[in-house]
Amino acid sequence: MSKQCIASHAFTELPPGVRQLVALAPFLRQHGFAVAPEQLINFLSAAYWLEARSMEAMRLAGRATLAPPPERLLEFDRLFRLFFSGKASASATRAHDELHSVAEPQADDSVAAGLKARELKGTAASNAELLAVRPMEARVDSQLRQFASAWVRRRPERKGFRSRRSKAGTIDLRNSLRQLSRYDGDVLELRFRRRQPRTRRVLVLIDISGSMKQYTEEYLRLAHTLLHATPRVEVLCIGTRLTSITDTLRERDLDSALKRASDQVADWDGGTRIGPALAELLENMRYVSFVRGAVVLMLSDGLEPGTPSVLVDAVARLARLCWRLVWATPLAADPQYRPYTPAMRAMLPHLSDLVDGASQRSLLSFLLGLRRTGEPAAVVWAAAKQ
Amino acid sequence: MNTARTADGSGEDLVASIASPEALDERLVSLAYLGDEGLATALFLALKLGKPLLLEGAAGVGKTEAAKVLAALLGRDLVRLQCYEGIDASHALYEWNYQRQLLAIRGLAHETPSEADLYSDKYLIARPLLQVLRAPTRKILLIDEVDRADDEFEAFLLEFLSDFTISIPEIGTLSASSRPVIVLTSNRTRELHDALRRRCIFHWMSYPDAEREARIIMLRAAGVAEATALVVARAVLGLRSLQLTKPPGIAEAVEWASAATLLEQSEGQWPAAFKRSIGVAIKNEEDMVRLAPELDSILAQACS
Repeated sequence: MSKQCIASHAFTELPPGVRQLVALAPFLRQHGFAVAPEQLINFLSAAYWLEARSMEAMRLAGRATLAPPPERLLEFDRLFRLFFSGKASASATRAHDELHSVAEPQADDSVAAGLKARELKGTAASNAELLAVRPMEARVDSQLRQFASAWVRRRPERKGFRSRRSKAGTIDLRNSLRQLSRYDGDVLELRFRRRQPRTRRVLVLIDISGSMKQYTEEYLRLAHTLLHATPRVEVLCIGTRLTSITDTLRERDLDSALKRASDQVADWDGGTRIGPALAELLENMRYVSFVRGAVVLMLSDGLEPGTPSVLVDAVARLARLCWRLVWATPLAADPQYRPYTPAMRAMLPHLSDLVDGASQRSLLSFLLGLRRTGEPAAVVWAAAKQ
Repeated sequence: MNTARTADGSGEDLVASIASPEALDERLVSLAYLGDEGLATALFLALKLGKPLLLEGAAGVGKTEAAKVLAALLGRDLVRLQCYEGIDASHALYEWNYQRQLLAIRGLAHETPSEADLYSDKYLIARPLLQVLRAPTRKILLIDEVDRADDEFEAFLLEFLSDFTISIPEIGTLSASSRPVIVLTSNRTRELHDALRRRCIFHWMSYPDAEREARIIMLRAAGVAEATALVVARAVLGLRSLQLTKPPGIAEAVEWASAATLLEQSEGQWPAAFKRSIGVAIKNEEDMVRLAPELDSILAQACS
């Protein structure tokens, strides 16, 4: 049929209408949508079958054949309309900017700026609720990429409850007998089963207060990497409130995932209330059952204003629930650092590890060693005192 | 109904007779399935292009139901392959019936059985993929919850979905006489491989808006008043926004509406009837605890 061989013609030989449809693919790719040639052919065939009746029908066909990820459906629709309204072909980059300016919430700039100025003057760990939207930059990070491939082989595991076929283990009687009947009882070939390892869940808690400002972006990138290399991960931002950004980070393209995360979280670089935020987390049964047996990675300096009792209680409970509670603080980069703040001192006995969170390299290599359980943090830091 | 006629194998004509997504949508409505236009387009293209259809969405949005309705619409039998962890080719494709083969050898006593006799159709247990491959115009295949299967099985499916062939070493390669209609569903508990998504026509199913959900409730549950259906639809929308472990699906909404109607008939108090029958919609203790403080305001909002 003619519709099948459309793609094999040279681009310029195509009729103008089809040429425009074909040009949609590079336009979408430019905006981070993966469009395979096969999908483009499907899209063109769809145009044939729908007789290109209306823009609306073609948009639905685009959704069906080009399969944009569900969390970016609206963005896809916007790009689609932009492309066919003719504006986009002139300047694709401008279209991109336009798109993102539409996506940003209409925050009152003057208020945000005012708050920001106050925050810069005031103490880092203040309780001021800052509604600032943060511009995010993403760069390709080879260190993280290497980490991702190493992590897949070295992430913490537990023994699963269900057994599966394997080369060794306990005898799988049912399967062995079935095998035996295949050869009429002549050849006995034993089959085995074994409990298969399961990857532990990972909960990443990112402190996004003003005092952690210079690290949050790096932490978000780390969370994104972990999320895409581990079956079950939950990423929560802790500022003046608790925000889950798991679904936002699920988008594979790091750039746009970070951009959307920065739009989603309302309280970037504000004050901290780690204690109440953790208490809120522990009230939500969904998170409690998630944390059970999981690795909890807390990325925070632990600077909490006021009395630390709420924080300490929450951390103690969290520590009892999870498999391993890792606290990474950028402050520990300083060799003189000792966990002497009242909050840190009270929390130390509950922590499995208290590590340096400032250098990406040391944090990543620590994570790769998570399978080995070492001395609890209190013992390690007691030794460091001398 | 005009679809019943086609059971004798003229399913191909029926596919050809559907002229547009709108026409398909009309037929779906006549079978009491209210989908959105996106679903109609995706179904239409899947049928016309001969591609498998991948439906993704939260649990309880009607993915499996869509496949069932499609089977009814085309007058074909639905063959369902439920995926689970550890599913392998012998569950999906075929298996030899060893017991029968052995019995046959013994029955022959002194003659030597020929291989062709032993590896004939008589001893072949056809699993869903093979069943559909043999009768592509009379059956449609539903591969349910692909995301539960392992990566290896997904890779194996990939091969089947691109060529529609199965090779059996003892017999040879079997291929479908025409392209079978295949529907895959996924709850998105994990992301499927890109290659699988590329091969398929894709549709993301989201929960319907309150108005359509109300219409679905009235279609599914006889005796539910329009006002009740609308209240339930709105309340369910509120429940879903709460980030519960198990947000109520459409089936739960239908049950909730009928349960509340039943209770109301015996007691005559509306908000109380909704509240007392909440157990039909929310089936998770943790969710119930999380929901308790907010239920009243959600119901009040839905009733207003």
